[in-house]
Amino acid sequence: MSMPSDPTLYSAKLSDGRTATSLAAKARLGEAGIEIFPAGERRVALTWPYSELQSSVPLIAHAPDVLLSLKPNGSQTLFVANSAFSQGLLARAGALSPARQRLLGLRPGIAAVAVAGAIAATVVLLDLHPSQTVARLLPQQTREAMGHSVVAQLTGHMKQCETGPGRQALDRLARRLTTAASDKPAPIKVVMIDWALVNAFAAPGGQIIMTRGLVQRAGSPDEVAGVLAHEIGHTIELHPEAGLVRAMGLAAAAQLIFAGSTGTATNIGLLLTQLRYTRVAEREADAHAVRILKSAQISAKGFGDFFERLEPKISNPQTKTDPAKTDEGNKSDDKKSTSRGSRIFTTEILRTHPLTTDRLALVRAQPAYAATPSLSDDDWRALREMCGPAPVIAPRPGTKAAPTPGQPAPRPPVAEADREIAEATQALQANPDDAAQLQKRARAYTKKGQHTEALADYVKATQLRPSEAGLHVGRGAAHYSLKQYELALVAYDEAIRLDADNVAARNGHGNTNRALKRYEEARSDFDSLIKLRPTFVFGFYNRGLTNVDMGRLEDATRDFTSALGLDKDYAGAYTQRGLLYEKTGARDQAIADYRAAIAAPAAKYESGPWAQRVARERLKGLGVAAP
Amino acid sequence: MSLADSLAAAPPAAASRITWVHPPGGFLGLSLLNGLLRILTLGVYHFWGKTEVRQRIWSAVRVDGEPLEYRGTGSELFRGFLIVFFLVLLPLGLITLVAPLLWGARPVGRGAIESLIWIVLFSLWGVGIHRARRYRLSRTRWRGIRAGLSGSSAPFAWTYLWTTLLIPLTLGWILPWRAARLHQALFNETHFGDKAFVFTGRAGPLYKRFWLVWVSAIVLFVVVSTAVAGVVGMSYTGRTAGPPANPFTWDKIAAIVAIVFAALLIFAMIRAWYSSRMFNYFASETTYQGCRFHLATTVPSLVWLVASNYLIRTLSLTLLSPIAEARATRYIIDRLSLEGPVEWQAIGQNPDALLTRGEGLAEAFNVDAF
Repeated sequence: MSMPSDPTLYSAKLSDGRTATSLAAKARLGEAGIEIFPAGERRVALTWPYSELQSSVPLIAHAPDVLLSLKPNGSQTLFVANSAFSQGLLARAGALSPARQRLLGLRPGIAAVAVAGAIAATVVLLDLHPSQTVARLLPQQTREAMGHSVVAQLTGHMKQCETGPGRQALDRLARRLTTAASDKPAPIKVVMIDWALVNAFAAPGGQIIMTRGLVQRAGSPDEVAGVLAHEIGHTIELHPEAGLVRAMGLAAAAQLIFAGSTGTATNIGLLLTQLRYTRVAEREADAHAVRILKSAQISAKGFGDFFERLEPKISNPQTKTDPAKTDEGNKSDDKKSTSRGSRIFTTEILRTHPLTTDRLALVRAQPAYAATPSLSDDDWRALREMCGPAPVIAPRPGTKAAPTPGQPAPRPPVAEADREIAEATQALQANPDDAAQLQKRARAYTKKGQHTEALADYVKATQLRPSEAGLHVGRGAAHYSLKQYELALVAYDEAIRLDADNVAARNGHGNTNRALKRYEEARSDFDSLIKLRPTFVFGFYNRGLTNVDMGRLEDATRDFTSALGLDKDYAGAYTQRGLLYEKTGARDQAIADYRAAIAAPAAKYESGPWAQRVARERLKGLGVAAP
Repeated sequence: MSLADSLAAAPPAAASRITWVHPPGGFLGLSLLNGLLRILTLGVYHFWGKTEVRQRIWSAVRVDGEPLEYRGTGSELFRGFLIVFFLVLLPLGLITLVAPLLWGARPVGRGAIESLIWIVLFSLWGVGIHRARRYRLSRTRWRGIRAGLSGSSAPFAWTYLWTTLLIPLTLGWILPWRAARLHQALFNETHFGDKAFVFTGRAGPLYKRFWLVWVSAIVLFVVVSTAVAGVVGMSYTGRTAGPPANPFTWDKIAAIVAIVFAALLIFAMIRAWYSSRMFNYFASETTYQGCRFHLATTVPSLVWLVASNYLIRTLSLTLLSPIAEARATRYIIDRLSLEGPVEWQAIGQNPDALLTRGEGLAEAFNVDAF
């Protein structure tokens, strides 16, 4: 389709490409191309066909000027500074337009996307596992070297536990499982690190890392055997190696895609430390685990028990850049609080091993078979104490009742406490660094009210076992009793840092803040506590007290009501609420509460006697007979 | 009848004018479009987008009313990138990834490998600078005449490498000398047509201002270090037992950030004072065909340009980099002038071998991958 020629003569500058001069010329939009008349000439000196034109920039309709030359490398150039010329030229030489130029530039890109899509489709449709194939090609030496580096990177600053009996027990278990795994078992090396977190993972080259936390959290050796068999399954399938290969491949691909546009970060280190397993990988490892357990004649029930013990969360696993850091940010909103111990330590394993009900169902569906315990009692004990003496479980909530104003804590039988002190002292003579005995003695001192001695024991215990949150809680409580509130805060902070789910620590922290009259901080402590453990009655009680201090009487009333909802025998809560009702003029409700306080068992909580005494006084003050 | 015969005499020469004519549509739309197409093509379109940006920028620069022309193509950039990626970046990347995994246990070996890699990288960087410039100049035309950069990359890369290694050894004092030396290496080989530029600059005049930059850097560093230490250290007073509960509260972090930011700002302004002098001086020592350049950057305008370009680049995650590039070019062009008329007819075409359709390996290595 050719347009009629435009008779207009446009002024132009023509350069011949041999010297850096340009001459005035005239240009006309002819039928077949641009007709160029050098200045003063009547005849057309040059015709540039439209199809062979190139412009210095893509030509838009109202470009104020245009610089033209001939494809591909014409040195002669024509410069026309007239937007009418541009418009006319564009109508005749559409290939100069931005759209057409960009389309040309898009072709390689579209081809690249098509190729990438084809590759991805092939991998998915043919169920290929390129990273696994590459991983299989790596020699064993390389895999072991990779494994060493990964282990070092993830556990660098932590101690590896190597006590003799424990090591032997662990090796026995590992051997039993690997010989059951296959006829030609690949060498497995199990490393136990002194880490309170509950986790186990497989590194390249057959190296498996287990934590002290996992072993001590497990209820039986069969549970540990189940976890170990699962990790061996990962090792057999080369999941760790494949994961690393995949990470490196992705990093290289990202570099290729984004290197053109500098500024996009490709953090290879981040990828490397993400030892996350896909659902498929988990299924494969589980299949191996149940097979190995059966072949080794170990019951699979333990494996299932273990995961049920860790409350299953179907929520998305969060990205973790460094599993070596304890997780202070993980505040789980779990409503059913059935576990007694520290929940935060357990979710670490769930983050790297997403648990679904399918997995649990598979394990539970295993038919029963003849089985023997995976470890003897002696071996089990040795394994649990591989990193040192097993810690005493943190005190149960309920014994750490909120200190009440004005009343010293009533003393339980002193004789029993004296006996415990004597026993512990004797044991400490033999081994002065026995943290468990120190803790036992410190508790006994606390019962007797000898807080200075208790503090000394707790301090020493925390020096010996600095990662034991319960000891810091004890230390904090001792400081609190000695009115050393700043130091108490330090201790409770440490406990919370170690174990964000420790209710006693948070409770103590809140009480200490309250003692320091930092009511806002105390309230927020108790808010966290309630969110953490909504069934912990003291959370509400203590927050109620704090609200009273801050003058928020309605909130306080609500809190005491919540406390009573959790435990209808809480005399202290009745009395406190009664006082509030009395203050706001609700006389009948106050009387009802005071009566309820007196009716509740006095010895259940430390505040009992105080509550009943005050309730009687207030009833008298209101002119009502006390029951 | 040849064109040369009908050569009309050029009007009596006034000084050649260098001007900037902003393209209709600016650079915002183009930046966004390039970004979108880049994502849709897994990054491949980046090179074509970059090419169009350069075309637009070159075309905005006018000498005596006629625009510069950029004749590079996206495929050339893409090819160059692939070559550099597969022959250099990928092997180096693999080595850095794999070496620690395989030989990480031996620190001496690892240190040697790392030093070697750094030396290789610095040398390649020098080569890259030279090659990139050569590519860009060879693809630049005005009135059909090509510019160019003669000479091989190796001597330049060598100079680049050893002067870089001397920077820490001389505590930075070598920087002005290095700048003059590298500028000279590049400009004395830069041609427009068959005539070369001449650069006569020396480092001496630069040192008059540089000493203040150097001293202020030290002073600011000391001040900032003590200030930050003071802020952080404050939390350690008054505690008798154990580590502090909160070594880093939000207000302390904010204080540290503010201190560092203020110091960087002050340093940037001092540096701009020096850079402005350096640019203007270098320009005034550059001549082409006996005509001297004149550049009139000022410190406030330079500070504003650098700061605003930095913000544009970072806040847009480099999406709007073309805008920053255009602004920087415009800044220079607006302040650049050429004293005296240039005898354009005395300048012939650049004799460097033209890019032929089937490019040789040498051309392929004229990469502009960065």
